[in-house]
Amino acid sequence: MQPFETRQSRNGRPGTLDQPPAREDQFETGNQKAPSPDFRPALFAAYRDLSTLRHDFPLVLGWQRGEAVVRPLSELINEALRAIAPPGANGERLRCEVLTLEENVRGRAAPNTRQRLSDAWKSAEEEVLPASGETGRNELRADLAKAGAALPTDGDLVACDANATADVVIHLWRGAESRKARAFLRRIDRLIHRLRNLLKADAMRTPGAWTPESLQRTMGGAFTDAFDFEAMGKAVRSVTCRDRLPEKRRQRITEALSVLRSQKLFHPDDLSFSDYLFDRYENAIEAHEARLDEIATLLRAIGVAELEINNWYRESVHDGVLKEFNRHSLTPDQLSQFPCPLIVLREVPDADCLARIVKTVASGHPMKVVLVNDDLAESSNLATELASMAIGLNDVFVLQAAASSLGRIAETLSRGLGAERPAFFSFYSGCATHTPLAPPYLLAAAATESRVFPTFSFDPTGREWADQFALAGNPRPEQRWVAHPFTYETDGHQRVSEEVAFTPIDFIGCNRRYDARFETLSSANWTDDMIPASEFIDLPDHERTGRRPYILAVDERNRLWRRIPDEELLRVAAGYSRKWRRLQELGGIHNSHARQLLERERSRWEEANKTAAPPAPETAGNADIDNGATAEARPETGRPASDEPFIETSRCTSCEECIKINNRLFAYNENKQAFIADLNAGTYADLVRAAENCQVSIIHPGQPKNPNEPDLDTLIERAKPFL
Amino acid sequence: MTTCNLIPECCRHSGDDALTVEDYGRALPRWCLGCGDHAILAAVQRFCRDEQLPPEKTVCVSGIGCSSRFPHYMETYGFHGIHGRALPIAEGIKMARPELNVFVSTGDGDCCSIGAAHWIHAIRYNMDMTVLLHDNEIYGLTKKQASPTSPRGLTTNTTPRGSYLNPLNPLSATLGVANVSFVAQAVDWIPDILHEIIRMAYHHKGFSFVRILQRCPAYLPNTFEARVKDPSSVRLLTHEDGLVPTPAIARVYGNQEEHDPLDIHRAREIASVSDPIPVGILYRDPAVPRYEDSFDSDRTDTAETTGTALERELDKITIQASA
Repeated sequence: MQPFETRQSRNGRPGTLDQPPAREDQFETGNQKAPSPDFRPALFAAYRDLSTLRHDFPLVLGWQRGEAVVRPLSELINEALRAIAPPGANGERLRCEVLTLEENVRGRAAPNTRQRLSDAWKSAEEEVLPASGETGRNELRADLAKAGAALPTDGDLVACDANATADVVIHLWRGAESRKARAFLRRIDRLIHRLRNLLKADAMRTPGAWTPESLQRTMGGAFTDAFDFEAMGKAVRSVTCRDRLPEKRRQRITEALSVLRSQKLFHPDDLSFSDYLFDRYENAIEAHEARLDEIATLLRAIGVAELEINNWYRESVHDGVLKEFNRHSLTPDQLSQFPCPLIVLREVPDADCLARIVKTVASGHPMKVVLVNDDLAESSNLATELASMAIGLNDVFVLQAAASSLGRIAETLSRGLGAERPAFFSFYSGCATHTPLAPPYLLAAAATESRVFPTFSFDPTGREWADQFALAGNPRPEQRWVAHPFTYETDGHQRVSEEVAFTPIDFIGCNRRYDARFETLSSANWTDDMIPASEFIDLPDHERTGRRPYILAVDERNRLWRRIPDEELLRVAAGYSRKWRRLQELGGIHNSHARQLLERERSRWEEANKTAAPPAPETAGNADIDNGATAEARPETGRPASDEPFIETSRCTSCEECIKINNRLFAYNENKQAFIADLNAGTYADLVRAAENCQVSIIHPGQPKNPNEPDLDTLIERAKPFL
Repeated sequence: MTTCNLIPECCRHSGDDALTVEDYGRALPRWCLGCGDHAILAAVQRFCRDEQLPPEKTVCVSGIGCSSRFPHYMETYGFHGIHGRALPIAEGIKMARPELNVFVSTGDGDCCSIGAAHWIHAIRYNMDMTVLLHDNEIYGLTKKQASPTSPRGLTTNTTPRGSYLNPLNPLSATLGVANVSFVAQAVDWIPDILHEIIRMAYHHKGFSFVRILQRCPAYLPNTFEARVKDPSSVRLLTHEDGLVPTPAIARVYGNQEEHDPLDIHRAREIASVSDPIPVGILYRDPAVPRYEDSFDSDRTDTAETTGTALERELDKITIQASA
């Protein structure tokens, strides 16, 4: 869930968010001097302890039906509860027990440690079981065991920590590669099987296959006494085709078989693909280059196998082509059938490395490049730009997202990792060093929420732009900023509610390094010229005069303060605002082209409405159209202008009638439909008889050519219905 | 993973030895002159030529009846089966050799009478094959007996006082079976449309059922005669995802209805009408699961694995002499 989505307090008391209200959790307006700088955005006030909050993390990296899956723990437990806990009061006890256990399991998913869900579940069971009361213990143990068994999958529990993104990506990449490997190995097995059959069939034509012993072996163990294999051998020898495979072909098949059997690019027993996983780009390129010869050899063998199996191999054509086929002939499509290297970078690469990555990826080499940004402030501006830039490479799958979204974007991520093309992924982990107050999950979500690091994907396989580019995953993508209701209590114990937008300045305000860029004011110093930064950012310069922007922040005691950002922060925020606006346009939201077109068309329509005469009645127009259609629909006779005989060939049903009458006068074309092949090869009587016999009446005999043909008057009379 | 990705483009089947319609023909057909079977055979041969289907990768299967002589006239592999059993034979072929192109030719007696049980389950299995129901509404091979699709009142050797029963409607029956995925109707006397429907049926991945109304000039010379001569007696079902007639055909056969092949309810209504004859794709849903896909495992069946499995099963019932 998005951390800001739930706003209602559990007991409805004002001034509290999702947490159980306690005195210190209530907001007050601060009217003392500013405390030590440990401010957090006001909207973060409710999220000091995430362990009690049911949210996307921890994730479970599991396998279901052979496919790698990444699912939030809460989702798995919901699914298990739906299966075992009946709706209503009957299942309520079980639901409460399991949700209590879930909270315990959630607490065990500590940052930077990995534990199996099943192990954590068992440990948590022991902890939540009551110390006394054997009956109660056994009942609870049985319930929890039942729920544990109903979990759809098991796997590593992953907290939102510095390694979470890499772990999730690697897990899904292994899933995609395993799927590919299974299909590839199955294909190789089938090719081997069929090539062996070719050789076996050839071997059956050798004298060695006709000996009594060989024949007996083909019968297996049963009924051997019932046959005289000596006699069978003689019989077989008398009828067996003795055409052997040409030596060259047999050799070709044997060589292809040998390559297929010895290939090492896919290991059926090792699907970890550790040889293809890199943390440095240079190493990945080096390993990739080293494999190209092996890939070319294997592809050549597959080519030979396919051609031989289908009996398509033509030595005059294929010998030369296959001889020339080498590592330089490999296309991106072919390369994508083999394991795609995964490169996980923990920092923005330098310019030189970046240029090489772009070059490789742009050439279509199916590499998967993942950049995990830990600190957007520490990184150069490129961290938030690289994904947008990668879209310009056109044929590269691109995904940008924060770690908090990993559970929700797993399907898109999996699609990109499995795509038969290069892919670039840019993630923000939320593990910045100067923001100890906000847990990584919260900070990552804040990056998305503030539009500093929006989620978007670009899949070049889509038919058109609208199918390719998606802004899904962003909260309220149609809005400039995301606003949430916020309630606090004044010094006079008055409840105040307002909409508070979360802006890039709020996100930057989480970072202590920028404290000096804020002036923090208590409520006593709030003045009427102050306006929310979300409104100020987009104001033109002349309207900014005399106004001061602010964001709302709370201190450790949940006292509310206004923080005034400096000019530099406002400039940076305006930059993020423009970037988000650009993404909205790409995503078809408030598209300026569409808006301008609409305005133009509206003006045109208004203009036309002012001057145009009243439209003609609709029925008149329709009548014209109908008349035209009727005229068009008249059957086409195809009759020549002269009295020549003709056949409506395209309607011929190939029924043989006319061919039987005279197969020189009538013949079939390349579609096996009749036409008049040679008029001089038959008589008018043949034409008339064919017309009479034609089942679909498509033969038109025309007028006789030979005036001396016998019985012509009768024939002309018979031909009349077919003219 | 597809073949084309793994074989250099230039290595694939070269066009210099392209097959012609004649290459798909075998013996001279022995059907009666004027029989609609000729048209169906010509359409299939023409389609095979257009797609360059490898004859050695193509199997024509049939049961018993006039139509079932079809495999004899195709230069492909063929299986002339027993009465009513064309479909289970075809299913067995598809299970063992899923890469083969399987065509089934079956008649109204073979499919809708003795083979009706197989027909229903074949629809439900939705295995990838093209089934051509040659429906001439009569048993022709055995000299004119009433078939399940014979019109009521038809006088035949078995119904001298006229057929008592209303005919079975193969389209309605097929559309009523679970897992149906492709149903079309064609008539033998519009060759271009017949060819196009066979093409679409072949490219549908699943059980493609094509009922072809077919003339029998020997025993029912008058049944379709009037309709052959009157284009308005045929209603073309057109749709951008279905049949798109050529302008020439569209001009001649002006009686048209736009019908979305995904609309099964309308398809059932259309199927129940016999005059005018609906021609086109009544129903097509490529998302229906196929039986053979449920058996797609990572294991390759080799002669050894098959032999071992057979031995294991046979050992269960073999009585062996004591040592």
